[in-house]
Amino acid sequence: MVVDNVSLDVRPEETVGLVGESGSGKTVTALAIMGLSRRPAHVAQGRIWFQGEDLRSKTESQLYRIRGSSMSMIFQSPRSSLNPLMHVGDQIDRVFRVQKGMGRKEARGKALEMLRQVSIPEPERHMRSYPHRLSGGMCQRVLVAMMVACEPRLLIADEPTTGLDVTVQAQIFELIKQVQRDHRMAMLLITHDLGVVAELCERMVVMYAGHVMETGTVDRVFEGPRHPYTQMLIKSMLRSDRKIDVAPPSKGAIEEMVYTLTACRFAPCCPDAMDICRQKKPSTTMVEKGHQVMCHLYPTK
Amino acid sequence: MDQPVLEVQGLYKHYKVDRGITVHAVNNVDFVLGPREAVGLVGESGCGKSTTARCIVRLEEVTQGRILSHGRDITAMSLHEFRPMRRSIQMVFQDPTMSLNPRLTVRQTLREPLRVHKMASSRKEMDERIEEIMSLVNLELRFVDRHPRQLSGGQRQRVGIARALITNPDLVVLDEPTSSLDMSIRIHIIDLLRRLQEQMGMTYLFISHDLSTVRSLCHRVLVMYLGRVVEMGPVGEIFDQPLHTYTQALLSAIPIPDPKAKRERIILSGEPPSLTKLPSGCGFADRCAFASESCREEEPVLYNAGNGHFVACREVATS
Repeated sequence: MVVDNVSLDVRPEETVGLVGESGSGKTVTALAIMGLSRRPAHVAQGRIWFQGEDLRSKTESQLYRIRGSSMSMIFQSPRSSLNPLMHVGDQIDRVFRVQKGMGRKEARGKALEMLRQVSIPEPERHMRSYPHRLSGGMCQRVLVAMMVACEPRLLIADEPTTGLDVTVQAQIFELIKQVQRDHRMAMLLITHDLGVVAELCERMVVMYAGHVMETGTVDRVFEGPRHPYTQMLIKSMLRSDRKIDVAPPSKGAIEEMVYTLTACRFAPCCPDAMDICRQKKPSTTMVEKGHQVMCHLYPTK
Repeated sequence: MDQPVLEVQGLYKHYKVDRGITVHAVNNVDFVLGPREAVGLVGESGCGKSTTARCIVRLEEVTQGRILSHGRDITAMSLHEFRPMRRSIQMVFQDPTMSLNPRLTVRQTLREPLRVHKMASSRKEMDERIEEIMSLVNLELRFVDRHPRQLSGGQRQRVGIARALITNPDLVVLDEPTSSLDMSIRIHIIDLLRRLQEQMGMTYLFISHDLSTVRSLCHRVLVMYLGRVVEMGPVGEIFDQPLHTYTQALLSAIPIPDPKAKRERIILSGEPPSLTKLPSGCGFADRCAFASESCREEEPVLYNAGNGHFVACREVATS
């Protein structure tokens, strides 16, 4: 069981950060929300509510309409998300034709407008470019353009800037934020970079080995992380604006995540592990309003 | 000043890719690395930082310029003459999975440099040296007969570091050694690199696009853009008082993991010019808010701003 009992919510116009390291189940969770889990992965249990409707009761063709039109996703490697054999412009105008039922000419015009909106230089020329002619940053702009074209209510962005340079990352996030403001869109932002979370998100969800370890507002979690794993992450942060002494935690170098069903999955690396942690899976406790932790240190009252 | 460990003088590296098309990867780079220094070489993709590093370890032949190791020009040596020098100039690569031979165990991987450089006379001596280096990089001895696939990413990178250090080098070139690692592992590797430098006293050239890592590990920083060094100086100077507009934009773009941090972000427009058609004058002029006509005409030289801080900007030099 890769992802076990994950609960999270995203409210209208809100940005929620989904944080965790490799193998924590961030992407698996996102794909499950989009209904894109593919064999052998499947959603075994649970509900996914979107705008008051249960997505798991939808048929594949109903999901096809929802994806793109009201829920969109952008992926980590922008280049591999584009069709290498199609002009960039054709890929964008197809969105308008399929999702909005526009005619060819109208869709073409809209696609051009979109490229302009995401600041692609020489948009007329780039309409007829293949993805390999564009840099990684430009490909991600094209994907943002395709996403905006659908005007979704929810955007799931899975590490949208990993592999891009920091100055390009700053450009892309500026663009996404602007789109989000203009279209009053909610966003679930998947990242391993706590800096990105601190800057863009209002709330955050910390995952480890397929469990949600802590959920809360970004301000509260950064100020007072409760879960030993979150504490470790916050202590491992380096920052560029001031010199910090690197003092790695003495215990808890994560070499391998364990996906046990009968104990706390962080217990083998946890500096605060108790006997009960190795025997029983902790339940989620509210430590303060809007701040939840899954840890035996905070027993349910 | 002590005799430098490495001097790079007027380094150029160009690649002919197609008829009449040349990629100008590195253009006139000069710098000096002193003993026991950790110097960060930073910049974004295509700025020439990795090419510079590869020239230093002679994975690439330079187009023009000299690289001196303890005063001896390594670019003038034949590969045969250079071979013994490899003992003192070692490299750690970005991806520990790609840079370790999947068919060799940790022991076999670590034996290789000892054998090539004839640093041990018997198997027993080799094994003792291997045990010593493994304990230095905090790699448990029980991993010695494992293959890379049986190790985690962090452990593999420790093997990569051990392989570089087992020959007691004076200079270690580290090419993004932490960028493929998760954040909780990254901090352990940085701490390890720092302790090893204190114990063994070698020089680091640390190539990275991750400026927070550079800030916590390095003493000095070189910032590259479009194949040139645009700014260099002590780490505190560069991070707290960057002079070049590019360095300012680069630093302002890094997200700070603190919801309370206040900052002004400089969003650069466009992308760097193509390396096949270098602009005349300053390579950053087209994206710089302060560029004047003369910036586009004349290539700026490194101007000494004091405190070991140098910047290649005409506007800073004239103001």
